[in-house]
Order: sequence, then C-alpha cells, then structure tokens
Amino acid sequence: MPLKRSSQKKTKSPRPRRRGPKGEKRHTDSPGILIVGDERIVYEYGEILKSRSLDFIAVITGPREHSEKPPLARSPLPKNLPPSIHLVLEVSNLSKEIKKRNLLELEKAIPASVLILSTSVTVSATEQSAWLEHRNRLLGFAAMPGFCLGQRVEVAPTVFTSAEMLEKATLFFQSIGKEMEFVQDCVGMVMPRLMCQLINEAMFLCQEDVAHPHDIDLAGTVALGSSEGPLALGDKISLRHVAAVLRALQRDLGDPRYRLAPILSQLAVSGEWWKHRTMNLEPTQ
Amino acid sequence: MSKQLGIVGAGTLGIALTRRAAMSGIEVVLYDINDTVLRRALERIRSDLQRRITEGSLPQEALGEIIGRIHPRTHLIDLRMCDCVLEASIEDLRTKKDLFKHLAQDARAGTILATTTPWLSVEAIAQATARPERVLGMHFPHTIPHLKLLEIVRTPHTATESIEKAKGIGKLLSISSIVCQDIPGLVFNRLLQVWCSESLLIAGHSIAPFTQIDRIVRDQLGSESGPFQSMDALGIDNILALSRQLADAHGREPRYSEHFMLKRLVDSGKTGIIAREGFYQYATEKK
Repeated sequence: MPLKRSSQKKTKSPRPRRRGPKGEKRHTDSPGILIVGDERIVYEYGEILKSRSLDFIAVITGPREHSEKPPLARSPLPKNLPPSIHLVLEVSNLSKEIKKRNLLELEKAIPASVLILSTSVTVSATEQSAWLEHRNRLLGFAAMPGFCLGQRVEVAPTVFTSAEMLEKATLFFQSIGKEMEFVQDCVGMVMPRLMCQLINEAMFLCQEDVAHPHDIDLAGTVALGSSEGPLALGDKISLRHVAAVLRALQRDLGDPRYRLAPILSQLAVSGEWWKHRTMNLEPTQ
Repeated sequence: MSKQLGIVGAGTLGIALTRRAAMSGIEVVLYDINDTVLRRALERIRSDLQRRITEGSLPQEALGEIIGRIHPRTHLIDLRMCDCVLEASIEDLRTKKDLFKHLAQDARAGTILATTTPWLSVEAIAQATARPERVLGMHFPHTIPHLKLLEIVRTPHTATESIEKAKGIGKLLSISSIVCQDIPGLVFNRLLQVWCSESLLIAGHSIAPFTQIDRIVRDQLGSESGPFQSMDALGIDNILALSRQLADAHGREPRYSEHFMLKRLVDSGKTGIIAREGFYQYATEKK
C-alpha cells in the first residue's frame, strides 16, 4: 500500500524528487519532522508546519475522517525513516491500540535522542511513556481536530521527561508560534475535557428532546459567551473524537459522569444525524 | 404584538424584567402584595438608571419616560388588561398554582400567562387554571448583568399562538428566545452547570489552576471570560444552588453533583464579584 507523504520545500532551489523506502513521494531529502496518527490532526498540524516552511513527512494511521478531501492512503509506519527526522508528532486520539503500535514502531525506527510529542487526550502521557524503553523522550500535548490552530497548546510532561527533551519541545512549539501551557498529565487535559463534557450534555438534551438543536446551541453560546454552541463544537471536532475523549475519561477516572449520551455513541459510529432522517430536522451547521 | 406587560413579584428578577421592559418602550404593571417592596423596587430601578446616565449609556431625559412606563400595583385585578403576565414570585408550586388560577380568572381572553420558574412543572401550573393553552414558561437565565436569553417552556396544552406571543415579547425585549420542553432546569442551566462543574473538577484534580483554565478557554473559544470568571460574575452561591437543584430534580445524576469548592467559597462569604471576592479578588465595583 502506498504511503501518503506530504512535505514542503524548504528552499526555492529545485531538488530532485526521489522515491522513499516504500515508494512514497518525497519533495526534499531531509524532512525533519514526522507526523503520524489521526487524519484530521495530521492535516491541521501539516498546515501549521507548511506555513512555517518546516519539512515533514505525514503518515495517516487512523480511520478516514475527511469526507471533503481526497482520501489519503493509509499505511503502517515505514521501517526505514530518514535519519534527518529529529521530531515526531504522534497524533492518534481515536485508537489506543494504534497509538501504542505507532509508538512501539517509532521506538525501533528512530534514535533515542529524537523527541516524541504525543497527543495525550485519550491516553495519558505517562501511560504512553511506560510503553517505551526511552521514556524520557515523550511529552504529551493536546490536539483536537478543529482546534490545532490556537495560539496556546496544552503540554503535559511526565515524571520521566528529561530537561533536554523539554527544551526541545519548547523550541519546537516556539518555532510554530505556540505558547505552551503546562498542565498535569491526565486524559482529557483541560480544553478537550471541558468541551467534550459540554458536547455530551448537549447531546443528552437532544436525546431527551428538550429543545431543537439550534436552540440548544443558542443557549450554549450564551452560557459560554462564545460564538459557537456545543453542537457546533461537536461538529467541528467530530463526534468520533468527542466519544474517544469521554470514553478515556470514563476509563481512567472511573466516574459515571462521563457516560456517553446514547445518541452521541450512535452518531460517533454512524456519522448520521439521528433526527435528520427520523424527524426531518436539519443538523446544526 | 404585546405592548403591556404585567409582572408579578418585585424581587430581583421582577426588577430586572421591569427595567428591561420599560427601557424597551413597554408599559409595565408591576404587582407585589407588599407596597414597601414595590417602593424599594422603583428606587432600585431609578438608581440603576441614574448610574447609567452618569456612565453616559442613557440620556438624562430618558429617566422620566422609563419610570413613567412603570405602574406599581398591589391588586391582582390591575393586571387584567395586560397582554402578557410574567410571574416572578417565590419557587413554590402551591403558591404559583393559586396565583395562576386567579390570574386566569381575571385576565382577558388573549392574555398569555407565564411563569419564570425553570424548576417547577409548568404543566402542573397550567392545569390549575381554566385556560391551560394560555399558560407557558418564560425563563430568563441568570446572565447578570444582562438578560440575554429567554427560554420559552411549552407544555402539552400550550397553544402555538401563545408560544408566538412569547417570542414576540422576547423580540420586544431584544432577547434571543428558544423553545423547550417542560423539563427541570431547561437547557441553559444544564449546560452552564456541566461547564462549571467540569472546570471545578479539572482545577480540583490539580490538572491546572483556575487562572490557567480561564486563560486556555478564552484562547480556544475566543470568549470574553473563562468558566471561573463566569462563576464569579453569576454568583458562586447561584451556581451552588443550581447544582443542588439540578441534582435533586434529576435523581442525583452524577453530572450535576455539586463540587465541594463551591460550598467552601459560599461558606466563606466569597460569592463572587458581588462580594468582591470569589475565585478572584476584586478591588473595585463590578463593571
């Protein structure tokens, strides 16, 4: 299966295009960053890196998410990664198994000095570190589809994270114009947890037919003082990701408050707006 | 479209509604059984308007006009000519049933009768009257300093025409309205409670301090304030009461369980901006 590659020219001088170890297209000879994981987050971080003219390789290992963009081929991580890779962004939120597999393969494929920044909204950074031999190299960070472009990024070092790796992470986030917010390592972190629980409540309101989805969103904008209501936020993030965060919270914290609204579970699987078909109501835009 | 509004109860909400309606050009009959309460209510409205004049947000000449639209009354019968009567009295079902029974007897045919309760059964109140199709809920969530949302509560008996009239009043008051079912807490309160409760849990688990949570939320949502700033503005005592009422009304649902931090703050008198201290400290008056 061909591996999807995406990279950006670092200089204006034309470079010969070559084939990579598994036949993937390569724009430059020395990509410094590898992004691997869920499609939409890979896309969004890819855009950030492109805007900063940073060379990277992108590998999608999660399920297909972008219906409006051309499908990306999926592939396991290539066995032979370029030696120029000095940073890995592992952005799998949807599947713990895929994240673990990716990290274990990365561990074998990249030197111990390479920093791994791994999303820790559905698996804690500490738990991820425990999978690795070189635990000092991993830091958790928050990334949710639709929210990668913010100025601030939540970062969760673990007890194993070394000062050297922390420094590397700081330099990287500075290089892409992000301000770090250090938070304790816990699934959900801050913003993803807040948003997902709010979206879940809005889904319960839909489930119970308390109000029309548009009205629920309007009430939500007033409650939050934001321009988007909870259902619009759910659409923006995608309910699959929302469900993944809530399930992780339920699993790790053991608190029944994170029980998913049944309609959220269904939508996360089917992607269909339940009332759209059954009651002829439009989904939130 | 309604032009004369009756308001029953000259408490905090009754005052806020009266002021808003009078400022929107609506004639208001403000009813309270207690004449002293009515007089104090008018004084509060006047002093609030005076403050706005001082701040420059209201012209001096508007004061007389606005106050002139408010008609304090101590007899229920004086509400009979209103197009809509808004009840903002104590949260007691028996009292409300009794009140609505009398209101329905006196009111003219087209008048809609609305209760502002988000907790009690609007249907139970409606059934106490001879005209349940004219009875609905009109809840104005606690969004100090402004009334920003109107939750119109329909019962199985409420006529569509009554809903439309309630929406019309929302428009006259320049408040966005939504329609919801007669379920305790309605929509806004449930969303607000979960938002506040989750923020408290995140801070309580020491994942991030409350100032940092507010900063992250403001950055990510582009909102003016974070959840802890909102709680201070709304009143921490109000948020605590909200938690308890929702938990009671929904069979101790874990999502609505109260956080100990709220009670600690309330017990210490740190109820937010109004007390000059809540999660944050405030040196000056609320802006």
